[in-house]
Amino acid sequence: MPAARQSRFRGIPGLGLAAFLAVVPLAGIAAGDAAAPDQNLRISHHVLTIGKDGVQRESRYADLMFRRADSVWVERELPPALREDHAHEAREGKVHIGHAHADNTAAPLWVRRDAGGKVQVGMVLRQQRKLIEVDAANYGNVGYNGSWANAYWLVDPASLKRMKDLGAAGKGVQRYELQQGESTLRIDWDVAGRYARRIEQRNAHGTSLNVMTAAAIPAPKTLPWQQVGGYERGEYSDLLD
Amino acid sequence: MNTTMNRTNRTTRLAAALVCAAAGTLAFGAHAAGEAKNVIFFLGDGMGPVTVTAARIYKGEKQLAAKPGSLVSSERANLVMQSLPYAARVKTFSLDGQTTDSAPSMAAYMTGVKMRNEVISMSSDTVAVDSAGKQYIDGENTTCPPTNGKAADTLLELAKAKGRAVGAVSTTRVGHATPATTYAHICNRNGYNTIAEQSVPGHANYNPKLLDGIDVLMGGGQRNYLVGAGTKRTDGVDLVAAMKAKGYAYVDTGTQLKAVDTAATGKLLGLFSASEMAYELDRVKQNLDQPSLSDMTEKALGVLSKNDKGFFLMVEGGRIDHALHGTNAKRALEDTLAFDAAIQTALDIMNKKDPGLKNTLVVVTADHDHAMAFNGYPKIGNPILGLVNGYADGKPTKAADGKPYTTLVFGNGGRPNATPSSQVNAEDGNKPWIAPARGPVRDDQSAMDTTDDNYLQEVGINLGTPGAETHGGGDVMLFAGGAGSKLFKGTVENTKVFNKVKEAAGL
Repeated sequence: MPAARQSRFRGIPGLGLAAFLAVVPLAGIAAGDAAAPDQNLRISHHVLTIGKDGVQRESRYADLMFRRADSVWVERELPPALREDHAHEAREGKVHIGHAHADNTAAPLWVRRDAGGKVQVGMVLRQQRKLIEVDAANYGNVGYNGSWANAYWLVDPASLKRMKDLGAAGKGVQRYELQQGESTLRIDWDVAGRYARRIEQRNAHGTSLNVMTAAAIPAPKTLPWQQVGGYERGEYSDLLD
Repeated sequence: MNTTMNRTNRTTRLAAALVCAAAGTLAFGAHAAGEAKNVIFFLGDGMGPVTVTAARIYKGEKQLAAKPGSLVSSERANLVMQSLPYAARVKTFSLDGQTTDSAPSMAAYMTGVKMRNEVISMSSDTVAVDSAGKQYIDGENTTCPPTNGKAADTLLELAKAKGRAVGAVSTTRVGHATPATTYAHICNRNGYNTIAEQSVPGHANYNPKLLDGIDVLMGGGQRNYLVGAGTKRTDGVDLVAAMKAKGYAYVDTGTQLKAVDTAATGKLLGLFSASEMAYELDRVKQNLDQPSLSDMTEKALGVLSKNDKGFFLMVEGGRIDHALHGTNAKRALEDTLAFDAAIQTALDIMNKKDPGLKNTLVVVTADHDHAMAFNGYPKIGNPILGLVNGYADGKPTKAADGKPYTTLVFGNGGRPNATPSSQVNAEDGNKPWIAPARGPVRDDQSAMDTTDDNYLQEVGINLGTPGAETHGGGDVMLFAGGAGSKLFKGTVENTKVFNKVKEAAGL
């Protein structure tokens, strides 16, 4: 059977897609993928803004990320209480609540790339033991921004060339900076590890701060995608009505 | 299976219908009951009032881009559906839901029976889940006990019984809730394999009310008909082969459909994708070999309109709903315009065959609303997918957090559940390219292209799950033109739409 939809964008206009389209010229970097070392990272996010109402709003969360030559796995790190909630719901068999959508909150994302550079995005529903293949039209809904480079290195290395090189910032780390209006973007690049250790974006007034910090963690005994072999395959449209 | 009809019940209902038709004639004076031997029922899945208005403005923007100065402003554009002379509002609640799903809402139009969520064209006592709350499905096969409700006659079946040609066309799987309500009966909509079997003449689960078979069936859903890789079938039975054996012409690409000679085709099955067909935006931009809804409508009418006794055709713009569930307004609006284009195609074809639509009723409606809202005080001509630029100063309107917001937003919806990257890009600044991050802190969208294909509108209530934006319980619009269309006025329950079509068509 032919696939319902093709999974790659072609010739899509729109200013906001600059990064999206950057995937295409980056094909030349594909050879670098194999050379990039495996990584097991805990990626913490801190976002802070102060509104014109004077209210400071802040969010913190972390993702676990496992990178191998052709695969990136990302999943939200849940506090123990939430993990227990999920397990409890699974035991209760709450895999379908009437017409409402199955609860896939914080489902892991598995992004793969084949030898031809074709990217496949899967959402993992552990409770239902299902791997949902996501077509390009629905990438946004599962949190994949359409850029393999950004998923793989946390920031597209090609973009570092467009930034000011501030030199070494600690062992094995190169710092880059870019001023964009009132906003400053600073990236600490792990030269040997080939990933962004820290990405910080702040405005001059101190009313906006967005920091991502990546730290190495021990490799899991079993890679997460090795545990989904027996999962039923599904399509994103299965989740719609 | 509950496909067997109660013959006595049906006779009684037909008799009652005749009485109703007579009463209708008296009540509406000039209306001649039964004048609409042809019925085309257009259903925009989830196409609530805001979606219709937004699509109209979006159409105006396209018109102005193609021909500057052709409109005073984008708001002045006209949709084909809104050119129909009669209109009504429809209450959509289901038997057990203040907010309906697509199964009972379309089934109410097709059968006149109010039923529970997830039930397809069955009596009101039918339940979709067992006493333990488990759905009556095993994979995509039904497990409905035969004692669980009775089949309710559909408009399509009643037309078939009158010797008319019948068809259903959709951009979703042909077994999806909306098309399924026209030709299938099942206690739980998720039994897609069983629904498929009900459309196959000669199959043990065939719906005998379809007599020699539904004349045209087109959409997606190969995986419930074909065997092989990706199939959902568990019995190894190739239903396409079974339908071909019963005289169906089968096509699976847009190119093949174009080549169909409708004059020489009596029965037509078109399955163009494994599951749902592509969104219109992707179909066009990726140059997929799938037909448009307009293409399918044209061919369906070519086959069906050869029947001297008339026909019943249901055409669904099925993926408007899907894009809205994903809070992707752009794809929803593109699909709404494709739906509107299909209505234009039908009007053009039928006006040639039946000038003035003297014997053809065209009804256009939606099965339910969505939680999309039309926000703020944008200035005239403001891009409908854009940020709100105020009518007074033309500048972006700021929320309390100091950040701008878009005209179209959703009351609720899912959030991306993982971030495989920092969502920070040196080239674009701190710009998440597709969806604003959906945490307690709103992203600043000043630098985002909110008209991008992949921009997902912001949502009020975070439901966590992707694609989880809910239907809305608000009344929807109905537009009607042609024979018997003057019956459609006022605010009516969805079940009454069935009565009105039935009366107009003399079913």
